[in-house]
Amino acid sequence: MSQETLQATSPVTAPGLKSAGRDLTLVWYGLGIAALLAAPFFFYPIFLVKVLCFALFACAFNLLLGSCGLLSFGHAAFFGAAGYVAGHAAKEWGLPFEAALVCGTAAAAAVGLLFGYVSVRRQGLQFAMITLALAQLVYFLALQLPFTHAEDGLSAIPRGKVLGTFDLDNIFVLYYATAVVFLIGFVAMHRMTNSTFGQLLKAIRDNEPRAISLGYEVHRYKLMAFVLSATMAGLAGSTKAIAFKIVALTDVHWSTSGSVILMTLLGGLGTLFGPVVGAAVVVSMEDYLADSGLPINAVIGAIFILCILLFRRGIVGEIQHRFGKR
Amino acid sequence: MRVSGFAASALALMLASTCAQAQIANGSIKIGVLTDLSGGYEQNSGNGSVEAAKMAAEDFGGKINGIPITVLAGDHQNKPDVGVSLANRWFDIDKVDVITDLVNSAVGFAVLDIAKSKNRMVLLTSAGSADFTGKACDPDHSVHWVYDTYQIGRTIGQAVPQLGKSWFFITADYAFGLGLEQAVIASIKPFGATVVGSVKAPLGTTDFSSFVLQAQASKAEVVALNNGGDDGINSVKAAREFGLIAGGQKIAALGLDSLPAIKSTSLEVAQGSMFTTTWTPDINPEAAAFMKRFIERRKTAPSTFQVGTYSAVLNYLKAVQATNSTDPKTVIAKMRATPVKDAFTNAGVLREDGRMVHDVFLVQVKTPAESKGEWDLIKVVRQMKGEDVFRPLSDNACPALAKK
Repeated sequence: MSQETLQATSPVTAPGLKSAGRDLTLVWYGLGIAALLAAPFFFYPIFLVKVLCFALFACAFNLLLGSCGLLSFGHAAFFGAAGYVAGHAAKEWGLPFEAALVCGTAAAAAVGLLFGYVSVRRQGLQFAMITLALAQLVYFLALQLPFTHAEDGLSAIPRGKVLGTFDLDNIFVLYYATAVVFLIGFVAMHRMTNSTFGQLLKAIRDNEPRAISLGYEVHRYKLMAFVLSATMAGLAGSTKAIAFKIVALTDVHWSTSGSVILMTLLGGLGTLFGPVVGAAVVVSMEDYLADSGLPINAVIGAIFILCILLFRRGIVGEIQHRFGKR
Repeated sequence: MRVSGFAASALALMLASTCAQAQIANGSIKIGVLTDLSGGYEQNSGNGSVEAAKMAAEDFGGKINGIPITVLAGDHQNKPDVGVSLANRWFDIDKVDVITDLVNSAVGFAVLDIAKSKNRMVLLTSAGSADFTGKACDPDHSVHWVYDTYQIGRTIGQAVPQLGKSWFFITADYAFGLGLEQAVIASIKPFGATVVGSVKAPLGTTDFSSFVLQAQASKAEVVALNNGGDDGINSVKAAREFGLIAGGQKIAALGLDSLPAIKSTSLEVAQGSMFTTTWTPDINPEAAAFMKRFIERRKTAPSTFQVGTYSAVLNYLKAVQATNSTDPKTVIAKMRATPVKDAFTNAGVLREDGRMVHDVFLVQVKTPAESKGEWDLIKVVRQMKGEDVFRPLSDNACPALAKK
């Protein structure tokens, strides 16, 4: 199933269609940026901040699963660990917003390197289980280490000011700062998937023995992809920690790893905007059903079942598939 | 365009004039119950807390000085970020004045921080960290009503004379169980108690025979059942089958903490076990009446957190009525000046650090013969003074207070 989706949605590479494809991408980018600029006037900014953080997280996950075919079941470890480090840096070391983000992201990259080193030699279920096991180790560290404050969470993290001038406690400033971080991450990941490196990852995903026979050291490329994905997940986690002023055990819990898989599959695995749409859907449900009186988990579960039964390519995947046919 | 502009300014004028009459912001009193409506804390907080808050609002006829009281319910799903974004939305868009319940301390700390920055307030009734009146204390925006971890430890320590000096622990083998065991040992040691033995039972154990036999052989005066849920029920059952209480040992059921939990264990099984609690239904007629009313609506007895939520909201609304204001500082000042006497406690005092100090109890589960009704389940062994179990102000735990 995933193979088919990916073929249908991979960037158009035939020479004659290349410029058309690029134009279309630019149009999408234009629409996306316009939507990002206008959104806080229609929706509550803090809700949008949450959507963007989780969208970036889901894109990072998609980078690994979509282009490399590796299903990690431990991405919450990078998301949460980065959050803890960024939160600690901002709160206890008094670092400014940007420096805290860098600290958190770097921490996630380091954890990613460690995880990747152990896990990329395996595939499929084994890979998923190794990442899950390692992520559980991070969870128990978060439970035991004093600086995380275990069940109480690391709270009252100061947001600080962007570039030392714009106060992030203003929710519009917070939103636009998050939007910029999101765009940087998103564009970086998009560039990566469309580069030679990205093509190579796809080659490894589709036929690993052949990539080996062509002389590529596949494990090294997989490790690079893994670390990049962890880094981007860390950027998302750090931003969320500062924006929400809290990091708690849920951020490193396996259910968060599950939730990001859900977001990616719901939106459309391997598509450019799929993870963003998936994150928006899941976060909206979590937030707007919270005071509606409906049983949230049951609703999310039902939607996931419907998605699996009726549109397996995910929301964006299905739309692209229909348009592609025409 | 012009007409609508005129209408808007007229409306603004009207609003301005109503605001001038009453100090209550936005012409509404809104109480948000932020709790766990779908997870593990639902039974003790959850929908019961929402109902309790509604009952408090109904005591005022749903209105104060003609201004309607609204109760909103939110499910934070035990995810602090959901709690944070919902609390922000409630404060910014729905203009909620106060958020209560806040089970799950991570959510509690996060929401307290938001309330502080937006000058609203929280009534913490289900969250238990002692840091709410310690490191994180904010006396002008938060009130901690029912219990805290410091008080639980002290209460068990104070109960040593009634329970006994030598203790044996049957502990559920996971982080929470082990943590609780450490905390209980730390709190009973200063009162001269010793630990004669301890076994770790795997989570989900159905046959507690071997553990209970070890406890019996240890000849400890107190056997502490440090577990909850089905494990709690199964271990209490095993202790009964092997006749620990009949043999003169005392059972301290640390996970048995509310009437519904005893009810689901059944009196036949749980009889004679002891535990500590912040509330019992026979403290006064109001408590009995509240319990009856609650059972009519929810078909089950309230937990201590739920009664606490009712009491906190009730006293909050009384202060709003008296001051005709929803400004946190004004309302909290009034709440401090008014002694608490209601269904939750006979003599409660809201201290300047935000801690509501009230009496707590060591109770014992009744025998089926002693029980005179469906919910007549416990009897008080000892009442403990609030000032003996809650952290004293002289500890100077609250930094915000020291600055003043």
